[in-house]
Amino acid sequence: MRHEHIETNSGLMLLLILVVISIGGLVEIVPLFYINETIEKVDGVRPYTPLELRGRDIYVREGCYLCHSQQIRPFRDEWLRYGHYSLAAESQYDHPFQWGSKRTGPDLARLGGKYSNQWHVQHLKAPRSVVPQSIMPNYPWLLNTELDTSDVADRMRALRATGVPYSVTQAEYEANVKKFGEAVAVQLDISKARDSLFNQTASGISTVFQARSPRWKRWSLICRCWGPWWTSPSTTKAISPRSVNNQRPPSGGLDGASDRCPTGCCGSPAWKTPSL
Amino acid sequence: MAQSSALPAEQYNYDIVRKFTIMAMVWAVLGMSVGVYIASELAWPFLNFDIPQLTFGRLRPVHTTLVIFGFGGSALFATSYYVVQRTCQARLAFPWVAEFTFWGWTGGVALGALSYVSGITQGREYAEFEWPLDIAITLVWVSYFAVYVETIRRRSQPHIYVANWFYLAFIVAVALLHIFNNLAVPISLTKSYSLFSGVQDAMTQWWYGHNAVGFFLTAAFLGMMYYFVPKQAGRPVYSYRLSIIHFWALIFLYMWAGGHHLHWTSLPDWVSTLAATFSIILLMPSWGGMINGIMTLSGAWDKLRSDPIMLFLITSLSFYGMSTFEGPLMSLKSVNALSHYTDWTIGHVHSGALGWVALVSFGSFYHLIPRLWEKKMYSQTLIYVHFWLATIGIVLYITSMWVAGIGQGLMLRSFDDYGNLAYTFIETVEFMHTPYVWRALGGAFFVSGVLVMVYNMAMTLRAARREQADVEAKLAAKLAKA
Repeated sequence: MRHEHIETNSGLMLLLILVVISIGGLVEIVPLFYINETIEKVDGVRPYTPLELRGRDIYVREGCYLCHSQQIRPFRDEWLRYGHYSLAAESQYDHPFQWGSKRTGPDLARLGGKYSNQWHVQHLKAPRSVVPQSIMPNYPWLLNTELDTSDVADRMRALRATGVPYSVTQAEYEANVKKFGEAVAVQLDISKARDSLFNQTASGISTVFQARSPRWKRWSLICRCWGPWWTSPSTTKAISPRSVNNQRPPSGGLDGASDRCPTGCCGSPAWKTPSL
Repeated sequence: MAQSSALPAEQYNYDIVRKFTIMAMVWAVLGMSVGVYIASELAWPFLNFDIPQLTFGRLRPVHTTLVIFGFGGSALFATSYYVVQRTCQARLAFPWVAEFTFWGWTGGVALGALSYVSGITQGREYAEFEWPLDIAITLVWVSYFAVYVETIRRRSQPHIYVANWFYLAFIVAVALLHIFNNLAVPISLTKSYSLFSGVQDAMTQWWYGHNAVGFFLTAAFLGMMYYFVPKQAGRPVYSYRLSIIHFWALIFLYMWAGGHHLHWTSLPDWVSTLAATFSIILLMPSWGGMINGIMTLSGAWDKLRSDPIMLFLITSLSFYGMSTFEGPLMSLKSVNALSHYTDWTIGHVHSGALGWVALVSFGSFYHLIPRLWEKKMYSQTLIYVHFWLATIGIVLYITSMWVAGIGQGLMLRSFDDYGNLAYTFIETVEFMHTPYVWRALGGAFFVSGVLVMVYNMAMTLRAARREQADVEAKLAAKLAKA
């Protein structure tokens, strides 16, 4: 066929353009939904609890992904600095993904638990008060902005429509119990969304916060959702050499009832720990 | 005089082209000023002022949206509507629909910017518009497609000129990318969750993100180049055969390259290897376009000495060649290991965005303005001033980002004699302060060039309006006498 036929026929040209530009995406994207190895089997990965979900919404709202990644690459320096490289399974419930493309600040994929809650509060309020050379903006309004919890169930329902296993029926709940354990399954129950949110907030507030004003409660909503809660996933292939900075046990379930918060961030007194 | 100037206005719809040209300059000033501001925030963080709406995280999408979709988009609407009419020798189809694309696009970009500062965002780079705006944009885009294709169908020439191939591919591809990347489940007017998650979501987003560059910022601007470079040089396109080959190769290959934004991530290796391979092959059609553009000037090189518009166009093609060499280089996994997540990427984007996209648009506008308003540019000298301010700005910008990006990349991967990390992350942040200051300065140079252009344009338009008022007054006087 001579090119003249194409360039004198707008319909044919449009059709050929459509065919030519569709091939790349079809070959590279569609198989990702069908090849099972794309997302490896990892124990301990679960959907976000209502509280964590609302925290993640704030992360998206403030555009944190424009300066921070949540995707650790398999290099020695990243392993030492941030921990085990990220696995596809870890972001399988992330709508949208927040891997980021630029590190003006460090990676946050395994930040949960590295510093204390107190450190995070201070750091978000005034980053330069804990890290003098930091260029991060201050986020003081996170401390005094009321968190809207009224639509948390709607949010979970929307995510359920995309395939996140938040439960509505008894059968779904039982499936979650089997898969994630009862403590987690309760949190994934949409009908109990707001209760779960408040319970988790209350149970996670450490002694540091309980002594303060109610403002701290709202704050902890954000703090505790900071980054994915699973800190060191153990895969079925057991490829999890934990980083020196991340000496936390692999999270198997939700320990909201215990005195340690799910992010583990109440456990470590790492105030002003120099960041690697 | 009055009669002859009325003719082209009747033959072609220039009104819509004028509107988009003016808006393109408005968005350029706003978007690039926001760029300088957020660049300064990185150098001097107090500029965030503890005001949510002013923080870097909320302003950065405002910058990218205003320059890519506001400035770039309006420049493409303006030039494509002009080029399609001139090359098809047909008046723009569906004038009211074209009018709708102007108000729809302008309103969409403005609302988008307002929504980001209010914290309403999808959290996807270059696709931050929430779902109601996504739908509005889709409607505008479908209208654009209808106007464009129908105008081509009404052409009085048998052949569709090469510039229109590129504009067509851009319109079709952007529709495809926009729709699939923005599939989401809404929970309210201001919030939705993307349909895909994790690795699939990442790949869809960067298939979109890379081809926003490939089609919005490359193919479409090549369409612009294919009209304005030959026109300004007064010479035919260098090689017809080359334009066919590089057109089909470019639009085919670009769609494969998105995965190179996800090297070394949880994306399966086969995708990222495939993407890298295609990115390297992509060098050939990219340079095909550059060669075809630059060689169009062969036999008329002297114009570079006498014509500042030609300087803009040829420099833009040189930057295009440079950044499309740098791109494949950075898509190599070993280079990407160093460059990814650093300011090298930011520098690369700006050598393309400022050097190629903005310069080719300015050159085309300088060609276009005298024809749209039928008045010579107010000052030739100011065009030279603009050119040098822009060029110095770009050079400062990309060199400082090379220093910041490569410097940070090297620091982060260096170890001391005991095998420990040689630098903490915050030490690299400290190191980047000086390049950040230079970058902000480079941006300021570039914006001041744009302001010079706006002044030049405003004076031209004022003179044009005065002349028209004179003509009308004379005509009225004559009529009164009669």
